[in-house]
Amino acid sequence: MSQKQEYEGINQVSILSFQIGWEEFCIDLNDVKEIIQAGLVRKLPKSLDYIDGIYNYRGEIIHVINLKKKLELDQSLLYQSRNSSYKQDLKSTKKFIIILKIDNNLIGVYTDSILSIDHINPSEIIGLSPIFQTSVAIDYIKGIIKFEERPRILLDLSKIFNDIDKFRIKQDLSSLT
Amino acid sequence: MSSKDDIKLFISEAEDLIQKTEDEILTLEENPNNSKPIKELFFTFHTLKGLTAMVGFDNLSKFCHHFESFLDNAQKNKVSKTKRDNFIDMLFESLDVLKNVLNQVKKGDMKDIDANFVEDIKNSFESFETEEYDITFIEALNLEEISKLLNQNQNKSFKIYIRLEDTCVFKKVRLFIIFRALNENGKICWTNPVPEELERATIRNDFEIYFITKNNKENIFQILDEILEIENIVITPIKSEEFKNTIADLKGKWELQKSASISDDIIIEDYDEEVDVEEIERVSHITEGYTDGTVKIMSVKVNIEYLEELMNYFGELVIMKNHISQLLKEKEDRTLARLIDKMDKPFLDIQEILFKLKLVRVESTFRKYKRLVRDVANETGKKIRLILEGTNVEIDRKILEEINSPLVHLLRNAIYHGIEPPKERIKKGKDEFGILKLRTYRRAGSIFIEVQDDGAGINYDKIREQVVNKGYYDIDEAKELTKEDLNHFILLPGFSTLSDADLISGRGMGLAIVAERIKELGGDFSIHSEKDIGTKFTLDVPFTRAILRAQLIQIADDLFAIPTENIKQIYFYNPNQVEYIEGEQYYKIDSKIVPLIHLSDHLNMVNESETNSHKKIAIWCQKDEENSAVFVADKQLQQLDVVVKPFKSNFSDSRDILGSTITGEGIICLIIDVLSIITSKTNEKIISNLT
Amino acid sequence: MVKNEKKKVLIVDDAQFTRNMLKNIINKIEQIEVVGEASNGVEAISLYKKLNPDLVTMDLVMPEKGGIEATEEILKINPKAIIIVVSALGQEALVLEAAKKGAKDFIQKPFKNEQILEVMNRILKSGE
Repeated sequence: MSQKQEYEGINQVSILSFQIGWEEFCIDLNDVKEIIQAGLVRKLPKSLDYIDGIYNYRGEIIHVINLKKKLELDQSLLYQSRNSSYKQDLKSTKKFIIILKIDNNLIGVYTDSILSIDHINPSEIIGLSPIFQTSVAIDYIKGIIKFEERPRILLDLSKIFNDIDKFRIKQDLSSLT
Repeated sequence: MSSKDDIKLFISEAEDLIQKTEDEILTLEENPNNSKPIKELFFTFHTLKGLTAMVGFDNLSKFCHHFESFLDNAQKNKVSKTKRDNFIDMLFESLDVLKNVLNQVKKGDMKDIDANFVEDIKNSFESFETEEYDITFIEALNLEEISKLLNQNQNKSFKIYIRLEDTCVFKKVRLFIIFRALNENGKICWTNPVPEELERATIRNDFEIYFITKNNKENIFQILDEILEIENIVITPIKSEEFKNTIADLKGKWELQKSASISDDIIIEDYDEEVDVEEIERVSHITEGYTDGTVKIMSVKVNIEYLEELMNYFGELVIMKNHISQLLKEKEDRTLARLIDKMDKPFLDIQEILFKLKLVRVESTFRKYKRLVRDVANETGKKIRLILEGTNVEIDRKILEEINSPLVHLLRNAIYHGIEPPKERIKKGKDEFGILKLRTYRRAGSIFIEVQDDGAGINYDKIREQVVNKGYYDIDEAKELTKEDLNHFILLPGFSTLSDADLISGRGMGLAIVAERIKELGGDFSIHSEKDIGTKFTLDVPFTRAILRAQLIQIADDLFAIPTENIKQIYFYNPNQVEYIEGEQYYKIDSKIVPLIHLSDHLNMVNESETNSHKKIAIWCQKDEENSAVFVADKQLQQLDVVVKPFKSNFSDSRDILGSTITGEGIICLIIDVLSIITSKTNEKIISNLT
Repeated sequence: MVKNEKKKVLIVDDAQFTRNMLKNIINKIEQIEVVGEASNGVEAISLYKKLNPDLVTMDLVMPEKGGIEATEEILKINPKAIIIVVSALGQEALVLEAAKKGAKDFIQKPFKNEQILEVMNRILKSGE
């Protein structure tokens, strides 16, 4: 019995859950370097639209991503925003920045609130079924984790950030015209 | 086990010594009759021997020892010309061994080389040394001399066929003894195979000698019979006329052969005026070291990491100082403020010295290219004359490191694809030696490095084809594109890499990467090419980065800066001075009309808290006499010395950003590359004029 | 010519073994006699002066004074001296050096008895 427990212990995954707008997301805690109180994020000229800006993280300049825009949540949220304070929450509710370390690059992600850190069994991560409807493009989803209240989406961070190269080439092409 | 410091010292010393070794081998290669490089190499290996032993590389130390003693021998017996290539190749190989070990050590691997390997080296040296001597014992006569000899009284001509015993090992000495014996009794006029080949002793066992002597056949036989290891001798008397004709015939054949395979493929020239002076200095340093007991040490070796740290700390100090003076302005404490102001001078002085510390001559890296060019030339069968110009130009070490791989790429490209094979060059009426020039010079805050070849040039027609194939333009439009336009395409990632290697003479591969690297450094990369005249790549890199004086400005709500060295004048922005010409905005300054750029628009910065327009400023920045622009910012802030760090973003178009800095308050400030904006503006204009 | 005087040979080699071997072979030839043995160049020169041999077998690598120098000096004493180099394999450069200095011929170690005999016969025959 103890053996089985041990085995499971080794294989447990730590999951960070956070909230952006109305959506709740999970990410692998291994990808998280730190969670900090949001300070001054400055704008980055000529940046992609899902970039909120750049941030001085201990002397290092990191990009802060707007996951809402990146995951194209805006559309679904816009409906809510008409009768909620969406416009306002752009400014006021950005309370934390999750510092992610992906492929040795530090990237910040704004979050409105941190929900929990859970240690779960990999078997609790459910692959996507077409029946499951999400507001997030399927490409960016690693799986679904069923929490007691409701399921949360486990984001595939490397996929989210790997379309950088495409952008670079586009950028170089645009330099021609 | 040696301490970390020992290893660090080892790495830095060994690095220098290895570099020195390489240089000396190259010098030797250029001028094999010069014994100085051998002498220096001898000393270098001697030092390496001690150094490697110090950190416990016993085998490597032995390895160096073998080289040392080999060089000692080489010093005493001149290295023959025929063996020179082997000799130098072997030295180069030794270098690679040393470099490998050094690289391992850098990675923390303290593994010594294999003892068997050292033994092999030793053995190959022994076999090598036995072959290493001057052996010009046959003096081939020219036809005139032969005629003269034949006309002399009593002289008879013979063809002598000699076959050596199969067991003969020291063929050279055997030949020497045979030729000596014959020459004591007459004159050898020619041999078949030719003298050079006989001297190389790569012959089979038999050969012919064309011999003139007063002796008769029996005498010759007797002379040769005394000599050991001869299996067979056939002596045939030949009539003078036939004798001459045969020799002329053989000679002609051989010369044809020779011209077809000249072994010297590369000549390296170094047109640096200062090199010689330095060389002399260096030599005198060495001799001083041996003669004078007390040597004044004029320089010390410092690990580059310490220098980097020092720079960083100083950078932080500058930031803090700026912060303090900022705070003091609010406090209005005059004595303190004055004191802080006084600190400016020593700060500037330190800064200047720090700059100098980080500067190195480009030579330190560029001289490595001699080897590269040599190797690539050999690989490709091209003949190259490498000319280094301006190797005494100094540049920030970091930048030099970073331009290394782009330069290597360009040099390789030039040899592989630019310079034609010798035969093709001759056909084109060019010298069979292609000229590859690496020229360095300083202008303003930049270092210019040109890589120029006199090869085939870029095939622009092929690029046009590609432009059409890839659907950028249609055929007619493509015809209108200038070389400059097409150069842009060459530098597009993925533009040419997808196609076959000989597109644009194969230059496409990786040029985009080179250009990108240079841009990351805050530099510029340009191409000039003429068909069959050659191609010139120009790299224009800042000679240092780190600290620069910047004018801080506000655009929208964010902090930016412009290097003060680019600023000609700052005015309050007056909308009445704006003129519209063909839809473009210009700013009138006195009688001049200068292109106007609204930075908030240009940088796509949305202004949320609407700054009053009357506070706006117009900054006139100048690239050169013809090219300048006025930049409009929302607010003028203070000037600061800022520590510039490169800024690279995967999420934005950062071509207009020179770098970033963090202010004393921890705010990120982006430094705008106004020169780059001016350049792209002028290019835009050129393009729009075209269409 | 009538006098059946034996030819004199001086053996120079630092290895006793080699000297013995050479001596045994050479002494088999009736008209030849080994008159002296030297184990280095210095000895070789002084023995040459003393014995005035018709032929010298010369080892090259020896302590004190090497064979090349000894060859050179002996030829200074007598330019017609016949010196045959007996060298080890792998010393081609040294052998050539010796030949340039005037050594008449050379044989390589390890040598066959016949080789030595042949050398002696050929060379001594010519000396007449």
